[in-house]
Amino acid sequence: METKLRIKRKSKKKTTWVIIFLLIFILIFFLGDIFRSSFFQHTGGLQVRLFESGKRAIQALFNTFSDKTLREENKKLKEENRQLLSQLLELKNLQQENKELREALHLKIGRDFQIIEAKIIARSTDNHTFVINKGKEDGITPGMAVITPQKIFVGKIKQVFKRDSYVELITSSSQKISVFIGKENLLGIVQGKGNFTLVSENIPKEKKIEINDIVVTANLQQEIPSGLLVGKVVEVNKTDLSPFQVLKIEPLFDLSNINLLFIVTDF
Amino acid sequence: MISQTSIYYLLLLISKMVKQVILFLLFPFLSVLQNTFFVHFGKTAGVPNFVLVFFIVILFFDKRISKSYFLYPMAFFAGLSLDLYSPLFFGVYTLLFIVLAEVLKRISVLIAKKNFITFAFSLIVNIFLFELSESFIFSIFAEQYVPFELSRFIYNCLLGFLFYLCYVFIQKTVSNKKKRR
Repeated sequence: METKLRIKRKSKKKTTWVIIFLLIFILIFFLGDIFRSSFFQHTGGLQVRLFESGKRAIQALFNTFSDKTLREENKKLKEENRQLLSQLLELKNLQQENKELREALHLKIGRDFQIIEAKIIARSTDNHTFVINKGKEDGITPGMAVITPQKIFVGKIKQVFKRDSYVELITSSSQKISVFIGKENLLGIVQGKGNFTLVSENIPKEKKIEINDIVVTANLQQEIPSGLLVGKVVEVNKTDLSPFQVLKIEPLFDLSNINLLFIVTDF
Repeated sequence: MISQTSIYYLLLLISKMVKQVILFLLFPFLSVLQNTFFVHFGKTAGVPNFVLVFFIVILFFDKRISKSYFLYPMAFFAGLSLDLYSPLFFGVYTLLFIVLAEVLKRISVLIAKKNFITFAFSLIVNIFLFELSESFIFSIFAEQYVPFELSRFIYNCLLGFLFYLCYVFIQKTVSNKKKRR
């Protein structure tokens, strides 16, 4: 009799614990965003400081193991290369505009887009998302494009909190964007594959695409301006089995060197 | 009148509670550290999961926690700390850690002696389970394929061994000091 009572009491205790946990879990599920938002709000300053000091620490560590001047030169060249690519793109756009001007009298002049400056405060360990210090209060909404000062497309706003937001990288496998590839401006879709790579699988085999061809955003998405740099083609694979060629695209941004970001609010 | 023994027990309870609260607060702190400071250190292979490894080490050594009601609130807190930075919906890691706590509890029953080999076994099993379920959850809820990364798995194991050595070292120095007294 006593053992039965004990077992009953134990099972009662267990069920009350299970119910309590379930209730808390449901509460947290629904209040999660508020919880995240207030956490980032209160620890934002500390996070920025830790993020910056981590960056400095890794740089110092790296400098001790490698030739500092060579590294700086390499960084400068990379920056120069990015700027040249950006200029090349601008020239290409101008050429296109010129051509269109000759063809038609009415020309739609593209407006420069409105931007908001942001800083990275934390990064998720899966390397697909990061947190920036701008949120609802700054007019950020999900889906907005996030770019670097060199007009390189980094990702899209995924979730917005009061003063912070989550940004999902274009290399994340859930991301798909329409792009123009190469000199012929071939329209294609680029998809993230994780591990900082992008792939395009819908360009017909007959179309000529070369290594180092530039990929830019197309004007098909509502929230992403056209002409943003996405990456460059690093691999072209053609097989007899498929009518399409598979392009491996390397993004032009380097997440570890990004200090400043811009969110495109209007264009 | 409150007797002396009751005051003694009350103080004992408070001191235990303080220890638990400090442990609970360590999880969000570790989570902030791994997502801000240490995120730069693992550029391609990913960052070791400090929260997970610390949770496994604490539960392996502390017999009382794995048997008490503190186990689940602790798992809850650890999971919550990871949920803060997760791109998935809130509560996924919390649930994952509660399941992990249950697994750890069952493993601790099987382990009779606590030494490096049993620790390594517990650590590897738990990290492996966690990584597998994490990639499974990501592929379902985030439509994002996160492959099982061997490098991250090794990082986590190495961090676990480092935590183990630190824990053993601290324990030894504390016991040596007690003996001297």
